[in-house]
Amino acid sequence: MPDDILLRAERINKEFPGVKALVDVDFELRRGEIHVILGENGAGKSTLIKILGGVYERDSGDILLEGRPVHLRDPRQAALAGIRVIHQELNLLPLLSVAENIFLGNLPGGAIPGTVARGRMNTRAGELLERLGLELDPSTPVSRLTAGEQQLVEIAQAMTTEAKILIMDEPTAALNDSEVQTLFDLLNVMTSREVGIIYITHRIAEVLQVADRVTVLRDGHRVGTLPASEASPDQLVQMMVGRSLDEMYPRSWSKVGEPLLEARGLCSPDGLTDISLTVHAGEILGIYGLLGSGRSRLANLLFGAAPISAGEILVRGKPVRVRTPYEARALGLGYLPIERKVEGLILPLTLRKNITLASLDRYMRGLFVDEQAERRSAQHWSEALRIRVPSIEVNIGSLSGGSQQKTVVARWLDARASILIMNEPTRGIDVGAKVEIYSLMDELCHQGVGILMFSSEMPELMAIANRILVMSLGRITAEFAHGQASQEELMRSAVA
Amino acid sequence: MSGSADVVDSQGETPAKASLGMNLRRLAAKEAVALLVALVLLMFVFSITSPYFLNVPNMLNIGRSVAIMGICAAGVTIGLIGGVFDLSIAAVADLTSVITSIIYLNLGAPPLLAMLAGLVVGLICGVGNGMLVTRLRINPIIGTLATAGIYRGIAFLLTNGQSHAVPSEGFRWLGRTRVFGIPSALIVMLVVMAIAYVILRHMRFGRNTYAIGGNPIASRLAGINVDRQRLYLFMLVSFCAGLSGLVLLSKLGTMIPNASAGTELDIIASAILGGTALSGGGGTIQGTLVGVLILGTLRNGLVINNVNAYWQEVASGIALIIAVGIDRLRAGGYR
Repeated sequence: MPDDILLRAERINKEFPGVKALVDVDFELRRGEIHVILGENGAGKSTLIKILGGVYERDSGDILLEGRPVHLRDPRQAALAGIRVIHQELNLLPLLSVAENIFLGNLPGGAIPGTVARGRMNTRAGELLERLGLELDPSTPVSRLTAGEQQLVEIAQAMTTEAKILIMDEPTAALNDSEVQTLFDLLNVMTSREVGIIYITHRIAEVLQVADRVTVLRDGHRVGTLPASEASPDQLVQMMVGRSLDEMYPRSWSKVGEPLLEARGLCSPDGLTDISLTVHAGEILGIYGLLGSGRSRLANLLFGAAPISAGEILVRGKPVRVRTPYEARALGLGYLPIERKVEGLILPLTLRKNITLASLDRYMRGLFVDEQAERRSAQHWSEALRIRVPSIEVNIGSLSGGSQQKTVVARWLDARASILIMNEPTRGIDVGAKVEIYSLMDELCHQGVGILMFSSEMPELMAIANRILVMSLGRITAEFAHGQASQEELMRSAVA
Repeated sequence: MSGSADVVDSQGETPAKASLGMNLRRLAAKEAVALLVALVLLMFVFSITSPYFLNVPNMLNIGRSVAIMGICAAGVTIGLIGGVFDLSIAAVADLTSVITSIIYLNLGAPPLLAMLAGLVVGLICGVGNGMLVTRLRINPIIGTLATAGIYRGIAFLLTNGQSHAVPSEGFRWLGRTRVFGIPSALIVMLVVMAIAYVILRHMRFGRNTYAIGGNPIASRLAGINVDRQRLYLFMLVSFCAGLSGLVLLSKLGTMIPNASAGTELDIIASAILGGTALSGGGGTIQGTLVGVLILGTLRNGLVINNVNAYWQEVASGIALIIAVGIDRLRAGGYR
């Protein structure tokens, strides 16, 4: 094997009951290269990463590290072999300082046995941070850092080990623009030290910025590997999804009907002022705003999950009281919360039970729940919404992000909601699943449902919303019809 | 461990199509088996160490002693599944028994009426607990610890701390007779558990209970009235506690203001031992039944073997540690 190949995985196969996660996948990492793995949820990226990191065992295939075959039985072995994985969920201790986290497990000993040489630790941490271009005080408790800074500290921690290969799972999920830049600079520092980096993302723009090579996985197969310099966004999307970029936003404009939900002069104690809007049957009303503009507050308010201090809400022309989600549901409203795991799903329960949660009334036969009817419904929705599951009785925690999101939508469809409030419906979901959700929303419009869509992604709003309202600091600052707004105008209204 | 899809959900159901998530399913099944094995093992050990253990009268003895715990544990199980933790169960049991006795003895009411009044008192205690938690937003553990003191205090005030015989045929039927040779208390427990099973497994109330225990935030946003559900759960737990107090009253034929004191932990331990998650959202009545039997057998076995009564306390404590330990193991360990 040529000297510059750090890692080679050949014909890796991994099968779970009912699902072929990886089929004959080859992967190669050179010294000092940043190799991005791109793919939808379910494509196999996480599985491949977990095999390389020792979390799973491959069914067949070889892994060679610097030419030597290795058997990575558990994460510790992988770490000893020089492979470090940084997961999406951060593994830092919030109450300890930056330096303590960096040297966790490796704390420098003091003169008296059993003590920590704090001074030396902070100095060394400071040097490391400086070398990485991070301006952080090493004695700061990690809890006081922003999500982005925490991510960078975790990377700094990885660098204190003699890692030859760094694997990062969606590292920029929580970072702002300047932090992303710091991350990229850090990665360059590491590659200059001949560390190989495997980087998972679904953001195509990043691929082109940072990758040397990119490998696209789809449905457990390796679709292709190419140098980033030769890849175009269109081509990458095509490889990931089998679809071209302009098929990304399916929308056939249905007829817009009567007003379903109307807000007049709504105010809330936490800063919303004079919100007025109307959602009609068959339309998607988009709401754009930056962090802090009040989008989530408004979404909660309209669904009865937050108190109203002034103004009124009308459903189908009649003034109503929406003081609890219970009342909102009764009025035909449905809600897709922004944090589906925390606010949307009951993780210990199955898919079927999550779907029927809001519509149990319809399954009552006397005093008892008619589970046969429940199963039929859940089966129907999982087929209609293409929720990829081996069975409707699976535990919902094992589903991908897109499938989980569709489950919450299915819940409200089963509850016969005619007004859907969706808060960031495609957040954290990959390309293929996004298209399916847009397609679903379009279909719902044709059925006369009115959709209120909160989003911080301009392209999707501009593509599928009938109208876009812009929020800033708790108020609505502008309204644009489809096709009327440019990105600049939207942004200008969002910071007004 | 290659776990992805999981076939057994927290309600302990195994669906028709069973072919996935072999690991977790086997684990859950293993656990139920493990509990039964523990029970059998315990019985085996005690039958060796004492000739008086393994015979029908003693088995019925165990049945009778676990019956009272079991009635209360059934309610506690449903409560825990819904995330409702209630430490006032023993106090409610005793207060119910006190009120019933007073209404019978001092007001001369017929026994049945007195018992119904006692049960109503139980419900009221549940409402009290529920209001504290849902309206005043007090942490349930602290809140019910407080109400336990209040309810017990009232029981003592009403009786001046004195016990009193409650002679009446009208009370016998609940806890001191036999039906076809089976102690009535045991029958009551089995009936209560059967009803609890049906509620949890087949009724909307049970489903909503699992939901709010599994994720109260998401349940609320799905339109479930979480506070109201919690109030009903508190009432249910207290009702079962009250019922267990009545059965005890019937069994003893005497009203003792602190008869149930100290049994709360055993009852909660038996639920947890049987698979009810401390954090809510999971558990079954069948599991609690086994848990109750294990603890009851343990106590009975120690008594039969003439072990110092105080060792029973130690044994109970150890059982609780094991129960919680297993619960944490199930949840992935104390993190």
